Amino acid sequence: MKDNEVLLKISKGDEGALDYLYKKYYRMMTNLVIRNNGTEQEAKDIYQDALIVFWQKATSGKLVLTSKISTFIYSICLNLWRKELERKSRLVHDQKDGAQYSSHEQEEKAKIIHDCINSMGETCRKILSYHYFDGLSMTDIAEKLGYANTDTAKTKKYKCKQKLYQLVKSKYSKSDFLD
Amino acid sequence: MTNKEFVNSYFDNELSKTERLDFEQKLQHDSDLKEEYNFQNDVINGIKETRRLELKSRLSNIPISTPIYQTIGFKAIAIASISTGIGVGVYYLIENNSIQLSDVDLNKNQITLSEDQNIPEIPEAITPIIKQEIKGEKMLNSFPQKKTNSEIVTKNTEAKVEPKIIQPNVIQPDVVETFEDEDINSEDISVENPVNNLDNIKDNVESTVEIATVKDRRNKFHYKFYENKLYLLGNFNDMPYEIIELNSKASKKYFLYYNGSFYKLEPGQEKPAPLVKIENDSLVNELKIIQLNQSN
Repeated sequence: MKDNEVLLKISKGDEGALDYLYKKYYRMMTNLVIRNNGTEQEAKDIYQDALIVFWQKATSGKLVLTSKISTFIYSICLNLWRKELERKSRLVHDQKDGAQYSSHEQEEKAKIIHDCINSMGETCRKILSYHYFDGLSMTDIAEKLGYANTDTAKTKKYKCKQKLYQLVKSKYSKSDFLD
Repeated sequence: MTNKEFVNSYFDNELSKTERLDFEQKLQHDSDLKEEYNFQNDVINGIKETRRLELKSRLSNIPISTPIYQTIGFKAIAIASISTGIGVGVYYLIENNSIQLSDVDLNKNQITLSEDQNIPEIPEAITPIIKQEIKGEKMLNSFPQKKTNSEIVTKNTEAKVEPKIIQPNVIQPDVVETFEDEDINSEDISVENPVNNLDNIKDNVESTVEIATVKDRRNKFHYKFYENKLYLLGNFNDMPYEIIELNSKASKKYFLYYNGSFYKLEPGQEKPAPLVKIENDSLVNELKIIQLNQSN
């Protein structure tokens, strides 16, 4: 597949094209991290994150490709790995972390939300993910999920979100961190 | 509008510019609104994070096989072939008479060309060429040739390195010259509408040379041409590289772009030779222009 075909597929939210890219550049991108003091697992992690950054940019239509896809992903990997190295060195140098408590509460909340999302039906999960993470247009979402038109998708999205808010709120009130 | 609806419209970009400003101002002072905002913000971030994890686990489940041979997955060959030639605006399409290799005589190293005849596929050998025409206005427009074309080629192959395959010994310059002679006499040459062709300039085209990368202990950063196949010797699988091919009437020129520098590749080089960086600034600039045109 050529770059523009891949990009077109991804911009429509075709996950198969993501798989294709993943396999295609796996060695090259992971080697980059491994050659720079990374473990195999770190390399895989960075590469996956980089590819997801690329995916998100491409699906939301924010991407204007001025180089090859491989060059682009390569530079994302490089940046992510640099950040990760910085983060690691910071961890070593200053152990004290004052924000422990609030980040714990934040984590707790995040877990509740995560569980609520996963307890919803597949359609709701998809429609919300496609809209908020992938940034697909409502037209693309309608097409992908087989809705008759954009308005149906919009209504569905609205309902799913209200349902999720309700779910999360009811779970929150059961937890002790909110009074 | 309730706070809930207000915040919802804000996150869904349904507010007008003034409403947005209004919202952002209220957010500073109205603690109820702020609370609702934080709540919805958390949920939306949760949706994003859940999706991210989902994509990550999807990727983690894809098996990665280790190739026996080094796979040339990242070969991005940009081949720009510029034939000498052309008056601005007048050029001829050769697509209808596209060149096909019909007969290769290994003993004589000679190629016969025929029109309108497709060759059977030669494995790992020469791939058909699709040509696009452009005005050669900036390049070499002082040459009074009738044909010009600038092909921009990108090829992503995943060919295995199989150095032992016997291939026809093709001498490329003969191809071009023979073809042009026929082209001049041909009645079929048609003048194409320049606009349409210009639209197609950047279409991808198959390359005419095969490329293989070989890991070699002795030759760390070398190359050779062997049986019409370019071998890059060294560790070329970790970074993207480009091969730029310039086709002129008399010859073909090849350049390698790797890690920010250009290297000249001599097509006659059958023994491994070290890659030498091009220092000539004007040549480097020319190559950058070609490269830029290709990637746009």
